[in-house]
Amino acid sequence: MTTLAAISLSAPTMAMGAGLMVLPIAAHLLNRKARRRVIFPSIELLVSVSANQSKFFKLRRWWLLLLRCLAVLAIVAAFMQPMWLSAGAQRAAGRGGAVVMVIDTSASTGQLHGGVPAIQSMRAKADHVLDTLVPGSEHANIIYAAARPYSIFASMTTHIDALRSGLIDIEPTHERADLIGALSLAGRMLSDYAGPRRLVIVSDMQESNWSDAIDSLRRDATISAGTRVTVLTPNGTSPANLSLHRPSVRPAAPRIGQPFSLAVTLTNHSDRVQPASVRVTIDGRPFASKPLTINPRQQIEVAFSTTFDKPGEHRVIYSIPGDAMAVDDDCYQLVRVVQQTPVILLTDDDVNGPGSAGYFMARSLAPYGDARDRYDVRLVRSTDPFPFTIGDTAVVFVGRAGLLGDNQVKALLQHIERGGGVVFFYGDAPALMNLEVLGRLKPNAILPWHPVAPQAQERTGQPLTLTGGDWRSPLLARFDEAARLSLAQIQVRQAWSGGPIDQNAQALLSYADGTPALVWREVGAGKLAIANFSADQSHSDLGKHGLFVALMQGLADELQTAHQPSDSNLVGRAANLMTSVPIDRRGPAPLVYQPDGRTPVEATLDLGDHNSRMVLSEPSKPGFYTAQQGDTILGTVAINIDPRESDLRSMNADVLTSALKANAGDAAVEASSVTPGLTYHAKGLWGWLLVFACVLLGSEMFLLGYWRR
Amino acid sequence: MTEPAVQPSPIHASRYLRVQDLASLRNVLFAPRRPIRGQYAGRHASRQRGHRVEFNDYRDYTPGDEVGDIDWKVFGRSDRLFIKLFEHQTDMTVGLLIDASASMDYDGLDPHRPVRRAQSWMGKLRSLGTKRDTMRTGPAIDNPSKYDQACLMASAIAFLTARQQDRIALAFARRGLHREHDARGGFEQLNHILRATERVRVRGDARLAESIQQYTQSLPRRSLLIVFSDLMEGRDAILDALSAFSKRGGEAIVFHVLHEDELRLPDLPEAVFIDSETGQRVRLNVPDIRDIYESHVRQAADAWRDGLTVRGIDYHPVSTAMHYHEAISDYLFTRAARA
Repeated sequence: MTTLAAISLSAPTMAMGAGLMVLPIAAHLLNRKARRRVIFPSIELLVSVSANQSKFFKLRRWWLLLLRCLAVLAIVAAFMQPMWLSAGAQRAAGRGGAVVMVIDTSASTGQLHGGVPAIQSMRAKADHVLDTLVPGSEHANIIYAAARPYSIFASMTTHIDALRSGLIDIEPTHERADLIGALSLAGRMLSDYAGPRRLVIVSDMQESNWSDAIDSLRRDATISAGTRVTVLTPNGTSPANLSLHRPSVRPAAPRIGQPFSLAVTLTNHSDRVQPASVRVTIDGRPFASKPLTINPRQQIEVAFSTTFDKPGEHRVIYSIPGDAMAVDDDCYQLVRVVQQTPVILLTDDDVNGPGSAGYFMARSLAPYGDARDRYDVRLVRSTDPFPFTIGDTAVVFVGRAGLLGDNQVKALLQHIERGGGVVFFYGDAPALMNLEVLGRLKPNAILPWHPVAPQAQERTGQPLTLTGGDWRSPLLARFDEAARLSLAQIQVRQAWSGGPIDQNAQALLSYADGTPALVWREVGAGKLAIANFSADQSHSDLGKHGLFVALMQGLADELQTAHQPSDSNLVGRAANLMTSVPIDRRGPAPLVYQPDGRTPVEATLDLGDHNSRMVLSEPSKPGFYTAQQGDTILGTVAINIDPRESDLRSMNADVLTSALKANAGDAAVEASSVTPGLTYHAKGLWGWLLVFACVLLGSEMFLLGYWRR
Repeated sequence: MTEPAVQPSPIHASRYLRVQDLASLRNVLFAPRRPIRGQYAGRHASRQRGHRVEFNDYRDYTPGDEVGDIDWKVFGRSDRLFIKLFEHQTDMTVGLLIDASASMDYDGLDPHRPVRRAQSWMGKLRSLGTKRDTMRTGPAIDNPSKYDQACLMASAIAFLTARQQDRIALAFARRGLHREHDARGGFEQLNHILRATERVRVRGDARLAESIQQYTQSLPRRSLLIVFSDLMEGRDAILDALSAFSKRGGEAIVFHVLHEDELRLPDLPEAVFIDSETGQRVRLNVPDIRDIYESHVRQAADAWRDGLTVRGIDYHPVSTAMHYHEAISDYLFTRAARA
């Protein structure tokens, strides 16, 4: 848009239409050539009377040309959409008003309304807002609210056309928008301007996205006082949508030939019953399809059972038929099939020294000591540098070990929260202190039970027996009556005491006096278990029994990751890609490629001895990201969109406007489904120009007829 | 049984002569208003005496007069001597002078002019095979130019003159005088004249005054000069030339031939007018000047009329819109009325 004094041109490029002026000029020249020539006998008399003819007549054609040219110019000017700026607008322009538009580009803006993506109508609204701005006078900028908000220009600009060009290529991302970040950025940009400030929010008003921002808006001042805030709300109601998310595999790292289940959560975000058919493809080949009907607002876990006969990474894609939002109709999952389930045994015992707890624990998990074992036991000492590579490890068994450092404890907590399992076994004072350190990381949110001092059962002469248990739990269901009787015969000479277990915890085994013997709780996506016994023969004879083998292997199976972490491996968030192949340190630099397999993405490499981790800073699309070193595939990670983006319900605009008012103090906040620019202080002139053009053409035709009559 | 032989006409087929058009003039005698001097006996009055043909007047006897001329009967009644005067009747010489300048070629803004000419040529070809019929009907000229109109009138007058056994001469004013045929009588002379009118191509200026001056010197002193022209040249010189001829005893008639477009400008909104003789141009808005132009044309015609009439010369304006024989009839009857 170009401003000429009090007139603003919305489409100045239409000025190229002035080239049409060549038409009346050409007509004029052709008519001039076509003027009638008469060979007359003698023009002596004509010459003598020519002085009496009207001087005006020689200018007639010029008058007609002038009228025609003016008519063409008026029509071209009308197409340039000029607007007459009122005095207020001119003053505002003179004061250099500032406008920042925050445009929501989250994945939900790709929802279709009548076949048209919501982002398109949002773009049109934003375009209309730009139409109301005065180029060269008003400062403006556009902020895209994606996972990482960014503005088209680093600072405010008066180049409105450039902003309009930036709008042309706007597309919905696959990310969840950081609306607070975007509003904060807008607030910072506007705070530098003393003149009139406007903040325009263009969003699909997705409730699941804005609900997080509402609390933050009420809490933290983001928008400077005096800012006029306009929320452009979407037209129409939210369309029905089905989504797939939260893929899971149980167990997390199945072994070859081991039956396991693949599952995905199907959610009906609409208010009506919907049929659906979930299809599964594994490694690009159709595997199964399951038709079903899902009730309004219902979530169903759709599971499929299978086995793999080859180790390595397998790509699983769940799909449903297309609906109003296509991006959540596919869900991606990577299943890593292993020869042996990797477990970590964290102990300072000599695992080869018969009688120690470490000895019995290692033997219970890997009795053969070769490939026939189900578990790949990795021995880690408390003195080993952390973080050790526990990324692909299912369970960490913490035996008798020394005092762990804070970073080591934090790494264990991180492993649990990401879906791993950790079992702390009874031990000496360092074991209890390690538990205390772990519990302090998140008080009352980690430990299933707070053990205190060990009971000196030997002093009282009354050993403990394992008599109680939740025998229906998956862990103990394998223990039959005989096994339970045998277990009750085992005498435990040392164990911790303590109060009742946490309300979120589950006691699996207990001693005869009610003291918890084996208790666990879910922490994040994983589980933390405390075994109030030790396999050390000085504490009990448990390690010598086969029951201990069953118990250890049961723990190793049940504590494996059962669900993909809900807060990781999402579009727009950093994701870890664990390599399954050692990286050649002398080879080419490893690269991570987008799902198209061609476009590399930004990633940082964290080298490990066996496995390395590549951190994807912000994957932008769902799908499988592959790390490669040359032609060697190092590993793969599946990225999905945030499940909250699938819920397309809109928030009531009043809730947002009240939060914005609370945030910005005396700000004038309004919500509208139409562009406020239409109420801007300018009046369109194109209608008058067209009328003027009609008057000119009418005059031209009248004069032409009059002069030729 | 064979058809009776048709008596061949002595008149050459011409696009400028339609005998049947002149039927209304069969009883009209084309005669000069003044007595003329002729070479042979004819039907026109002459100041020549010596032959007692028709009584004219009496005068007193003066010594030296022929005694035989004394009217003795009058002497017997009045006792006075009177000489009896007789009028000598002689033939008439008519000199036709046609303006063949380029301006005479104007036949209006007819866009179908080439077609008309082609039709004219076709008519001429037809006339070669059917001379007699052509003479009866004659080729029609729908949209005559000024030259055509002048030739039509000149041919008609030549026909009347030849029929009266008078002598006819023809000349053209085209870049000076072009004498075609000296004065002779008879239809053979008429045929020569008709061919000459068709043969001439109009072009250039007329130099009419110079042509009149030269032409009148070749004519007998008391002959009849008929000028057909649009009079687009200097009036004074032409008047002087005609006046000189008139003073010598001749009689002159001027047919001022104008096209209708010259009298009333063509119906055009705007046009560039190009002088047919000089090439000079003027751009005009016709509706603006139409009235003033017509006024000027009338004034010019009046000036010619006044200038010629004062000198005893007949002036008769002719428009191409008029049928030529109507123009001649009009003139002859007007002339007869004046006489």
